[in-house]
Amino acid sequence: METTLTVSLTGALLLTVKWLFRDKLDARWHYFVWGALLIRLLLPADQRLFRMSLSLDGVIHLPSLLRFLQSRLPQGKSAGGWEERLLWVYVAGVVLLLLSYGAAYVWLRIRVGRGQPAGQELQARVEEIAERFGVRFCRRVRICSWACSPFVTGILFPVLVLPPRAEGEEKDLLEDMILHELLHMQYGDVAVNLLLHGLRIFHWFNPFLWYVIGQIQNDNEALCDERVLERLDPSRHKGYGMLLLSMADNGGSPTVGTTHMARGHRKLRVRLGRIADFNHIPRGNALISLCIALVLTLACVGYAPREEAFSVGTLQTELQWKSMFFRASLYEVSTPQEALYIYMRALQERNTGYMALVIPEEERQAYESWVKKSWEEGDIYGSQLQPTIGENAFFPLLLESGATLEITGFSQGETECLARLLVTPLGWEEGPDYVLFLRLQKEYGWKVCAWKAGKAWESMAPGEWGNRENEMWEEWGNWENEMWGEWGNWENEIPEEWRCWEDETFHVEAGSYESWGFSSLPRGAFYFGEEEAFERAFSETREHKKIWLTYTGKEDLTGKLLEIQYGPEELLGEEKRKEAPGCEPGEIEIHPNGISRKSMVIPESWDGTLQAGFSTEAGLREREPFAWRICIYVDGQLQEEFLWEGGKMP
Amino acid sequence: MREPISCIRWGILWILLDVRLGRFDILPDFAGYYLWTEALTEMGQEFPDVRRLRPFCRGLAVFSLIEWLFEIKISLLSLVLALVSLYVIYGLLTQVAAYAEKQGYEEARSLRQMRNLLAVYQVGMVMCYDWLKGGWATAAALGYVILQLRIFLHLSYVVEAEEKKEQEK
Repeated sequence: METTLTVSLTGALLLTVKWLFRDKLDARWHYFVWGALLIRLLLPADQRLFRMSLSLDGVIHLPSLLRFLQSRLPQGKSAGGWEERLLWVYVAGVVLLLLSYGAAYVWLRIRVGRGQPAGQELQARVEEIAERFGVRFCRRVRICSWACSPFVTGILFPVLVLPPRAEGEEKDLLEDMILHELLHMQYGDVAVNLLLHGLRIFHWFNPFLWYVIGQIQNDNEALCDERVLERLDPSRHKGYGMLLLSMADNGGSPTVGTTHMARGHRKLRVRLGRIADFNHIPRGNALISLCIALVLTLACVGYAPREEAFSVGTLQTELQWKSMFFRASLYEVSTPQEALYIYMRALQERNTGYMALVIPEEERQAYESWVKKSWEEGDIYGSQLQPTIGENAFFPLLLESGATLEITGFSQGETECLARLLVTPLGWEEGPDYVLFLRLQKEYGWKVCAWKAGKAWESMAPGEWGNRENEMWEEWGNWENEMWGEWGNWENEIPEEWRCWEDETFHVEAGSYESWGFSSLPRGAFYFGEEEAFERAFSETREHKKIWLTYTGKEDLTGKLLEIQYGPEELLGEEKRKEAPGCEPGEIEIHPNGISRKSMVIPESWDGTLQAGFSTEAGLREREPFAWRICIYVDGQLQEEFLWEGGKMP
Repeated sequence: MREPISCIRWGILWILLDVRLGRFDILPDFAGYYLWTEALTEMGQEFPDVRRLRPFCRGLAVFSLIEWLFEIKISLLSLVLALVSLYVIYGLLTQVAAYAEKQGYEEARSLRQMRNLLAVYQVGMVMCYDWLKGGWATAAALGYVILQLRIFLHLSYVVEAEEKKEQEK
């Protein structure tokens, strides 16, 4: 389906441009520009070769459109049955048409074989024409009483078939007629005819493509006419046109495996038009013809940079709302990270348009009805919810200005993901105030479902967060077990090598996936800037926000000063690394530029661990790709250092 | 022929140069296409084949006026318009070069060279638009401007030669 739609669109574009240049460029261009269609056909339907804004793909992104339509089709056994039946109908059509064309060709060859071989005089005439005009000679010439017009059939052993009246034709007309067919033979048009019939077979259900193929055949004839005219004396051009006219009524549709490409008055008009233009189209147009054909071909096989943001637009009328929802349903959120980003933006900006991008399909209708009702009641202006509106299933939190959002506990699967969204109000120092448990699922793009919201931390002392969180995870995990099966596997999604580094002395583990965020989530509840691209991945600077150091060496460190320096690679240069420890034992010192330090005097009862973390500074967000350097000191001497690049071990 | 060639010359500046004040194009393309349409009308009296370009110029003038007024860009239309524009400028320069050759002006050969270079450059720009970044984009844009100015210059020589011829008459 995708192939036939892609080819049809390419055909439509080529027809449009050909129509524009109908009397501006020569028949050669009009025929060879179909090469773009051939290239499109040879490529897989979803294959795009070249990035170009001015491409067909930029107008209609077919893969997205088809996936969208597919997501709208009823799923289940009955739908599968229909697909299977349709496939059988398609295969039956292909087989029937193949048999029909095959039988027609075999019957044609039998009839040609029964035809009367041309007399010596005619044979000599054909040879003389071929020699005079420098074209390939056809040894087999037959006169067939049933033939309405001359044609060549066969690729390996071509036969020139002439109607009985050919022998009585005027010398010049016979010459034109034979030259035309010999030129068809010379340029392999029988093979082109077979190829086009092959296309008809595989796209038998697409009438538009049949029309396009008809146009290609006619352009092939027009090119052959042009080649004839190039070889004939200008005084004979008119006579050649008359010959074409005289054969217009000798009906019959194009026959498979012959040079009989196009017939009919309408198609003949195009050919005659080209003959009339023959002397009027300026010479020296080869370069511009090539340029136009090249741009067209690239436009057909190229891909446009995908729109990386969604513009909600003006929402003042019901039509504008409907249009926005329709566009939102077509937008494909490509990564779970992008879905989280859009969800966060929707909450932060109270933006109903953004929320429409990530609403799961089963909730879409209810969401649209709710938005429509709220809009009618005046709870929504533009696309934004008013602060007066209460929390609801779609907007479980209405954030105040300046709140900080953070994603933690992100676990990624093929089609489903889990994450927690932590919300810290502006000026709140006790850690996150709200937590929102999110489930992401892949439908037509990634969608977000808020499973549970809680103001869980309010009544708890900071030390109890972990327990409460674990309880909630357990609860969720149990629930998810019923839905997805193995819950435990989720926690193991993180590749081991991303998580820890070890040598003989130290084991260092990073808090991957523990606290991630985006690099450019706009702060503040109302954001009216021009839409920038949505973030599609978490910021590298936010990976490994915490590390845990475990001493695995054999030397007794009791009473010694152990320190970790943890910060961006560029800031921990060689000179810096040699510096003595910089903070009092037990303190975490976070330098404004992003280096954190923690030190401790090793007590006798030390369990061998030391934890350090950093705070993501605004200035660091712009510095991707990113690498963290970790330095470990014992009594002021650098013991170990290593690097984490882009969240991965080197 | 002095006036039509002069119109073509100024039209090139209006169309190919894109000078913006914020989002506002102070050299709108439609003005250039209008100049070309006028030039074609006059040239058509002497060279009937050139009349074929006139509908294209009119169409381009209308669409670029709509684009200029409403700041809309329709990608498919942009593609078609880019092709048509490519053809028109090529056709115009071909015609002027042919005329210059007929008159025995030295500029004929240079005009043909510049015409070919412009066509290749324009196609290259369409193809590489999404790939060029930073310094390369600036260099490409600069090269394009230089090319346009050279064409402008060659056309100016032809206009000058025509003026001299008229004065001699």
